[in-house]
Amino acid sequence: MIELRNLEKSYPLAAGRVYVLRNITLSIAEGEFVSIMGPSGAGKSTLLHILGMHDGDFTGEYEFRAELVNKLKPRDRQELQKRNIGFVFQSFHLLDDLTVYENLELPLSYRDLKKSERQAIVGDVLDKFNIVGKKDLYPSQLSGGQQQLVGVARAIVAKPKLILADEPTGNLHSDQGREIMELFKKLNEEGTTIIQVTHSETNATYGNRVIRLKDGWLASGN
Amino acid sequence: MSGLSAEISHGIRGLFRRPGFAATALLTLSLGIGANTAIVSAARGIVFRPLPYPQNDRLVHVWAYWPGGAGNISFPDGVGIAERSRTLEATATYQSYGTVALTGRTPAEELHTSFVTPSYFEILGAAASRGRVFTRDEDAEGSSAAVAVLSHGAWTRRFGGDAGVVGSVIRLNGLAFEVVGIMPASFADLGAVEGPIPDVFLPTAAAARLMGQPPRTDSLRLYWGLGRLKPGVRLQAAQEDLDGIARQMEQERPETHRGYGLRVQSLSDRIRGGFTRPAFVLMAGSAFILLIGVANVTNLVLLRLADRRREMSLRAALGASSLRLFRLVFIEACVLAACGGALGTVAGVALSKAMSAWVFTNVSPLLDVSMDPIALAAAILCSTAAILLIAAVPAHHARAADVVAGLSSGARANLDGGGGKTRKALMALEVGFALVPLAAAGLMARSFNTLTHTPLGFETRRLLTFRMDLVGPRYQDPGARVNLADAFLEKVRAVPGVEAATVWGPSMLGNATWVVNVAPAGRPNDRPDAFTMLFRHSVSPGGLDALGIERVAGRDFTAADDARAPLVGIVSESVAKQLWPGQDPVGRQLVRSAPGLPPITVIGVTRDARHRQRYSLQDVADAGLIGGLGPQRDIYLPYAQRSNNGVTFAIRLADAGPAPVEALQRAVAGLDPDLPLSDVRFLEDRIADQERVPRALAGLLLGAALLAALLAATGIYGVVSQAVAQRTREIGLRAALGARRGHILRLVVGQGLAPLCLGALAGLAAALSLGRWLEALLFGVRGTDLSTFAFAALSLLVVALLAMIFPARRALAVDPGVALRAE
Ligand SMILES: Nc1ncnc2c1ncn2[C@@H]1O[C@H](COP(=O)(O)OP(=O)(O)OP(=O)(O)O)[C@@H](O)[C@H]1O
Ligand SMILES: [Mg+2]
Repeated sequence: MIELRNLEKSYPLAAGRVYVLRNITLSIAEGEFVSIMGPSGAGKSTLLHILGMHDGDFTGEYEFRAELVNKLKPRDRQELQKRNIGFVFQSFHLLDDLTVYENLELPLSYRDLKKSERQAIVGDVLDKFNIVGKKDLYPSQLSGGQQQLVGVARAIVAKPKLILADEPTGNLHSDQGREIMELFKKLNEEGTTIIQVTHSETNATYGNRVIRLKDGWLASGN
Repeated sequence: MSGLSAEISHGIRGLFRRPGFAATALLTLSLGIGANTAIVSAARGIVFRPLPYPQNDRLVHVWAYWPGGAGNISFPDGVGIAERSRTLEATATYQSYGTVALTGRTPAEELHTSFVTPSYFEILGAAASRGRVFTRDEDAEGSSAAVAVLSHGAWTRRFGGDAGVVGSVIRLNGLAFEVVGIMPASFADLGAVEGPIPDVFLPTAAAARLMGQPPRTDSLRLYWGLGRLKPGVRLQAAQEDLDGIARQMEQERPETHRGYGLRVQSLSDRIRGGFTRPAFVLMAGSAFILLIGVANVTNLVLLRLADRRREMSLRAALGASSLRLFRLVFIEACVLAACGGALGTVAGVALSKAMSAWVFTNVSPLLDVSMDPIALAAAILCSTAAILLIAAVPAHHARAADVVAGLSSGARANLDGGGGKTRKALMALEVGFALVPLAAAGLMARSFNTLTHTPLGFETRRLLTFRMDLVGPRYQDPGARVNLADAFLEKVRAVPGVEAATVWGPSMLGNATWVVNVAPAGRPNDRPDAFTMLFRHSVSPGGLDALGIERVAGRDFTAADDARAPLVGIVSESVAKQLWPGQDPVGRQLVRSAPGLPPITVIGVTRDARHRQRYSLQDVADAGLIGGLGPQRDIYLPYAQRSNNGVTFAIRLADAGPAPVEALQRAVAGLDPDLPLSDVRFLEDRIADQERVPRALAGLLLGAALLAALLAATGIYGVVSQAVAQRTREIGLRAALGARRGHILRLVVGQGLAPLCLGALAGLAAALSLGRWLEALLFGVRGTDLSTFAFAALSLLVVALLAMIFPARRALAVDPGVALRAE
């Protein structure tokens, strides 16, 4: 599904450039559940943003399902992302002004679906995540675990092939975190590829593979 | 497009969730659009709206100029123009001269009077709504027809709108006049250009009988000319025509027409000329208000966008295209702008209503500044433009949502993300935009202040003035007039509370002036410019002291300077300097331009006094002649030697309080029971009247400028307080780490200081270059007066700083613990 070849990421700095990712060559197959680990500042989030096609400013090659991402125009890149990728964030990032239902509907509203189709999909997802009763509440009325549940639900609502999660349990208690991991595992078993960044060895055990980064270099797992 | 309606409703919901933001933005916008609507409407009314007369583009106003002056024409001039003009198909002469007393009812009332030739109504296309106007016979030379036409206002106010008034007889100054007609309410009389709307129209032939004016001579210049151009004739051709006529007059009557010229001007310029420039100034002011409003709202929306940075990034991450993000912000801004536009239009219509009533009473009843469809369309155009402007800038910023930066923690603490530069630029613009009208208003205020504080050269306090018209067989003989005036003064001086009393003609009653053309004796005077026109005033012995006009040389009049004694006069310093530079004028003689008149011996010199009005927009528009500026060429003559029929009195009262009208009436009734007092008013009220238009203009501009400053301050306040809110965490953190109040204040205020100063500098530069353009409206202050500009800039900066201090104080109150948990 994903092929990275000699990928490098750097920022300009007063004297020259500071490298954040060095010579990353990596392949991830369809259906994998990958955990990216490494010390703080290693470049994990940076890598995830590149994989998630938010950041197109890198050198080297990034091939996603036979498309060369680094050659795509920004607009096409966003199209590719829209069709394939869902995100889960450490701090949930739900929109405070929208209800649970509206938060879930949001990605669909950006994908040219009819209202009735959107209703059907959101209804299914609410049901699947067991949060039908919460659909009219605002994020501030939910617990952290419930908020992240909605965050995950929102990530899959557009049926992505790949879910990217940056420390999805970082702001949760351990049993809330476990619940999210179980959910990821179930989604993975249903066929969704998952890449998560985590500091927790326990969380990493839910996946089938660990990629370790250190100072921007791939330490192991390729 | 999917989700459009959801986005609109979400936009509205978002506004309701932030009532402070919405209210500020709406207020700013509706004020800007409202002021603009009303003012554009008014300016259109003043500058472009056709006058309410048929064939108004062919109507012209005729006035005269001569060496050292300009103003009215004489009645014979009017006749001469009518007979000789090849370019005017119809002409009329008219004068608005003070009031006459409507006697025979108690209390007697004053009627503002206009003397007009019958053609006056015909040229203005006006017919009586009841009855008729005058016939030519009724105004013919020597006619004794006693007929009157009432204005609609006088008819309803004084006669209760009774139709039976037509055909009835009223008594004016004791003389019987038959009311032959009533003008319609829609008739806009030209008398209003100079003074109050006339109550009664009389044939010019009646002026001599009623007001004691000498009958239709060249020595009396009280009239204006009104004409209608022949079809297809240009103004320039009419001017050449009148130039020729003036040259003929000069040859035929050199004693009164030396250096004389006639000027023709479109009636529209006559009526609105003085207001065109102020209208443009106001329009510019309101444009600045609108610009500030737009900058304000753009800023507010940008600030809100900065608040929503995380949301925008998130939406982008969830698949929103940049077009969708643009649309989202654009729609919300449009909702805001549309509401603001609607509110503003409503406010504008209301403001326009109030303003047109105000203009009618305070500026001129001939100006129609009510709302009209074109102005309304302009307002809607303005709002649309504002909407597009407001929506486009932040929407543009929204497009560039940076997902990586926007979603990383701490993104919200950074003010400079997402349009920070734009916001600072807008802040600078607001200050600049506000400074221009503020500086202009400063200039107008100083000009007005100079105007009202320019000493008149005499004491105006508690000075009661009124007129008596000594007409009829009883006052045929000059000696009878003098005797009555003396006897009356003696009685008045005995009234308790009266400090002094004198004849003082014509004083400051209206614009009417009496003039005398003189040349120093013993010099060649065959060239037109050898004669100088002096304004002539009649006073009693002791009168100059009573008025507070200081004598600097020679002696005052005495009772011995009577009709049998040689003519004597006291001249103003300016006359002395002009005619006898470096020499003592006392004892010298002035010869008159008309042959056969005895010379006048100068017996004294006074300081200059400003008898005529000090400032008139009309003067500015007509010829740049400002009555109160420059040398004052006046000559005082003893009433005993020069006894006009229309005599004006000035009474100095000891205390403030109501005028002792009844005591004065008793005093005159004891001498002549039929003699009415006319136009009784305190001089200070008359001066207030003269200052009304410049005061109104200064006030209007000041109001607009204050509004601009207020809006700019609101905008700055909004920016800074939002910035503080966004940096709550940072400020709390700094406080937790030991930052003192001074540090935090500097942090908050410091970032706004540079844009403020830059904006002020830019505003100053703009104001300086626009100031020159204002100069024609200014009295005694330059259009580039640096101290005024500096003052305006400083006060604006102080206001802006205050607007920053308030949110800064809120920042000081931040509790570090709460602030840090907020993220
Ligand atoms: N805009 C930037 N300019 C310069 N350097 C940056 C920028 N953004 C990130 N970096 C650097 O890139 C490196 C990697 O950052 P990244 O956020 O990917 O780390 P991480 O592995 O996710 O760490 P953590 O576990 O703490 O989240 C860091 O050293 C950081 O300083
Ligand atoms: Mg990270």
